[in-house]
Amino acid sequence: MSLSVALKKGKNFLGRGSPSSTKTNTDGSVTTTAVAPTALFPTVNPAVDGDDCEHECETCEVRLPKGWKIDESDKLFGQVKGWATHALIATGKTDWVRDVADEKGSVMEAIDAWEKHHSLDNGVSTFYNDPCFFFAQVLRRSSV
Amino acid sequence: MLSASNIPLPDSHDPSAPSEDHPTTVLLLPPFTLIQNVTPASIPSLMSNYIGNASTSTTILTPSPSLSTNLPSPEKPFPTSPSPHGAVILLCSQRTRDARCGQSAPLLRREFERHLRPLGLYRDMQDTRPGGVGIYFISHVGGHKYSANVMIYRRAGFGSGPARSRAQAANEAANGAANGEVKDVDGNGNEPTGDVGASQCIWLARVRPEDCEGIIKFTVLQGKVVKPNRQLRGGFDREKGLVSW
Repeated sequence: MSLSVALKKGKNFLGRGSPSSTKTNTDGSVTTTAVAPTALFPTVNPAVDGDDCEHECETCEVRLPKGWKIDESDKLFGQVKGWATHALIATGKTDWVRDVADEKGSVMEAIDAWEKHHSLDNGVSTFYNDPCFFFAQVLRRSSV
Repeated sequence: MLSASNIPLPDSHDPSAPSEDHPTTVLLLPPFTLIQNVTPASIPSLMSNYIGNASTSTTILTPSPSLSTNLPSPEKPFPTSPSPHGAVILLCSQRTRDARCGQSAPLLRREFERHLRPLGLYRDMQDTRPGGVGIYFISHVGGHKYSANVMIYRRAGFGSGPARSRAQAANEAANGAANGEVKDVDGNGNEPTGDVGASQCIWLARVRPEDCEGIIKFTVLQGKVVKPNRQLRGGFDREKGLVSW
């Protein structure tokens, strides 16, 4: 990725727009940013969905591993970067090397190489949706 | 977004050939299109001629022009076909990034399967019957400290979501469709206008096995979220023109 492309992507990431921004797309459609988690999709409602709609499954026998620990307090909504398309590459595997772009001879590797020098016209072309990963890539490439 | 997935390699896969020559398959979302014969060498063509022109998270619900034919031709080297699924559930399974993802994905898949089977909607990797729900393991999507991450893509018109028009419902009733069979009506009860792909992606986190029943019943089948404040990371709705970013 050239430095100018990297800086543009970084600027897009940091300046995601105001919380309630509206944008007109190239096809004439209008996209609005939902400002709250209940504004994007409908939430279940006991009056409509039944009294047990908010209850957890009582017949569940599957358990997470003992000592399962995750972050329980961060606000989640609205923190992921936008994306335009999502490509799932068939590999027949359920685990991969730490960075899938390092799988030698893979389509993921080829797409990553293409993205270093190109961007797509149809909007946000971020592939990896992890901002920490993105900045690690910027630092790695700019030091080469 | 780019994910490696456990979608099986095509039958033509020859393990003795150099890996660069192995053609593979790409499931592109939101178009819900399977693109075959993809090799590393063909990526520039795939990106420019297909992915660059495909419908995206913010484009209106019309078919992707670049993906509207499944006939190979010199200009279109990749056979394409619509995914048979009405929805897909994507689970991060990448243990090399975080043990929690590797641990939770098979457990959640088991629970999702248990609740989809009675509805006739469970589809394993070899089951291409239309209108069901595919479950795939994918590589890291970020946020493993909020494991488990679950992304749900729903085809326009799938299930019984509130966004379906009365015309769609009437059309499906008339055809005897049940349990999420996919119909491509344009919302006015007119003839199918083409495959418009997914209308929504709902990205959840902090999902536990006991959440799976509600996620099937409400999120996958109806596009409703059970615990938005605790579990909704984001997503998009092309019918309403809404995104979380």
